[in-house]
Amino acid sequence: MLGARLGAEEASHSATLFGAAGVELITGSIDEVLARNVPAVLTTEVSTDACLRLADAVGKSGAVFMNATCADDTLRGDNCRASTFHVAPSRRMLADALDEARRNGRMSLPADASASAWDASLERFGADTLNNRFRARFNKPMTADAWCAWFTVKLLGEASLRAKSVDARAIGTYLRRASAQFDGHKGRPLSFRAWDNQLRQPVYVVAPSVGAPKVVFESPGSTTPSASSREVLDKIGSTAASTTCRFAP
Amino acid sequence: MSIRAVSLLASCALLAAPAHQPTSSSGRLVFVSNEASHDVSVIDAATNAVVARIPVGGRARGIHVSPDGSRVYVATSDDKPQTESSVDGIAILDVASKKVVARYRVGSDPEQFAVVPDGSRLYASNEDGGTATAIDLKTGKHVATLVVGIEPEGVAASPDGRWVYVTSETSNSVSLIDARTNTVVGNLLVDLRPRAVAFSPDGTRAFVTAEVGGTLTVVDTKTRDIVSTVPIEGGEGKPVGVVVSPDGRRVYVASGRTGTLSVIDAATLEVIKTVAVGKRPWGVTISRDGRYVYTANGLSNDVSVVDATTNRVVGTIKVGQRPWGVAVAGR
Repeated sequence: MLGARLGAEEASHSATLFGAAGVELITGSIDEVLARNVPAVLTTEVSTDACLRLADAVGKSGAVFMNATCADDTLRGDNCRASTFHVAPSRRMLADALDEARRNGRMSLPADASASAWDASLERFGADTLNNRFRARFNKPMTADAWCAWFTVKLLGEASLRAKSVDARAIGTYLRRASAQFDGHKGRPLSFRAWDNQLRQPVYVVAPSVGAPKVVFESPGSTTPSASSREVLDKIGSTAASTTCRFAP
Repeated sequence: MSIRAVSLLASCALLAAPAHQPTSSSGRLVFVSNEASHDVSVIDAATNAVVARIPVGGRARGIHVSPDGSRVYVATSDDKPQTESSVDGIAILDVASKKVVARYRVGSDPEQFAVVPDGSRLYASNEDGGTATAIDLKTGKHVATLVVGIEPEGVAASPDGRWVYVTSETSNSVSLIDARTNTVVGNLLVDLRPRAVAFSPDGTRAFVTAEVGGTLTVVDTKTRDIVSTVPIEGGEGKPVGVVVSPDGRRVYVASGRTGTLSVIDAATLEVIKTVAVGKRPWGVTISRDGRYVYTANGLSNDVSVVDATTNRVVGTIKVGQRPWGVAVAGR
């Protein structure tokens, strides 16, 4: 939860500039947390069952569930929930990224290459400043899980400032707005897909190398220069046409 | 025999010239901070030739000329953010001798800064600290530390010296500092990743670039309202540097990833031309007569010279490694 802590510290700093209350992280069992009438919940659980149970419990309470850990596709498909937003890339996005890297790879991609939401070696688009802040704060590299948690808290704080509300419904409505987008130090504006509430984002293909693993490919790769960021980022993961998600009315 | 004698005389004359005439014949010198080669390139604007390279001892980023034209200020930092070292500061270059004559401390990791129009003070953003630092430029003494947003970057002083605006890239904010009291009197939420800010010459407008938002935010400085958000290249540009022409009619925006300079009509806020310049232009400035716009192109290691009357590139000058910012001394 180090990522969430940094996110809360930074979001609180930003909030005070606007005379808003800071972001407070409350930890506990799901019942304890929901009893506090919080607007949003995130978890360290990574099992699909746990994420689904939490999505339902949080949804019932009226809060939004921010999935920063579970990659499972059914959570974005048949088991999608309107009150759940997915910051963690889906398994399909990660697989698509690896496929794209293989297709584009001038060098052969090693079998143990993997795709992830973040890497501590990233530098461009302010990634270096974020990696430096995390390392300075915790003396550890920022992992993909840490980035997902950090970004989740960051975007919640910002949505709250822009929506001028700490109410779960107002924040959920803001996240669904077509114009809502956020900066995650990945160089492109990040936004949620209307059809499954999945965050559009670049992902990074990392290959083991001498010393430390290296980012060898960013997916989706650069395509036609005229394409919008959303069009480019929608090249990985489920599309509006392929999704099996049907939000309950 | 005679030819050789003439040639010798000519080189003697050339050698002697700089001692008597420290500035170029046009009176205009362009100073370029080079982040990777840790130096400043000096260009004679009359010939577009590099006439000097001045080592500054660290990553050189923000760069400005003093209002009287005698000094050039350069933000320098080491390669280790989060810790303040002897290299973190403002290097002060003497224009006549082209040497670093002093270095002032302005907190850790200074990136951009602004000098107030009377030349008395300098405000710098501390990228890793969430603060801006003000110093007295006569004494180098610390005047104030101001809490701004996370990852502060762009800094600009209003033409009347009353206000200093600081952008913060992670908080997506602009902090408004009253330079008389050195207090933050307000903050604005702007588009994603605000990189730089510039005032119109009459001080009524401030223009803020948003690199990830792909826009230019226009702020009414009196009401502190956002009056417009102008998409740069349909929102797909990556605007970083911004400068307003001395007559206030044009706003120039350098877009890093797309390698372009957008020319915007300040009255209608229409983009009237998109000029292809070098690779990854960040810093941008304009000559005092409004005739030439210069961009520092970080990945092609050069400076593009754009004629502001035709909006065409009329010169490309090789400078140091990873040029970051650019400033003009003289007309």
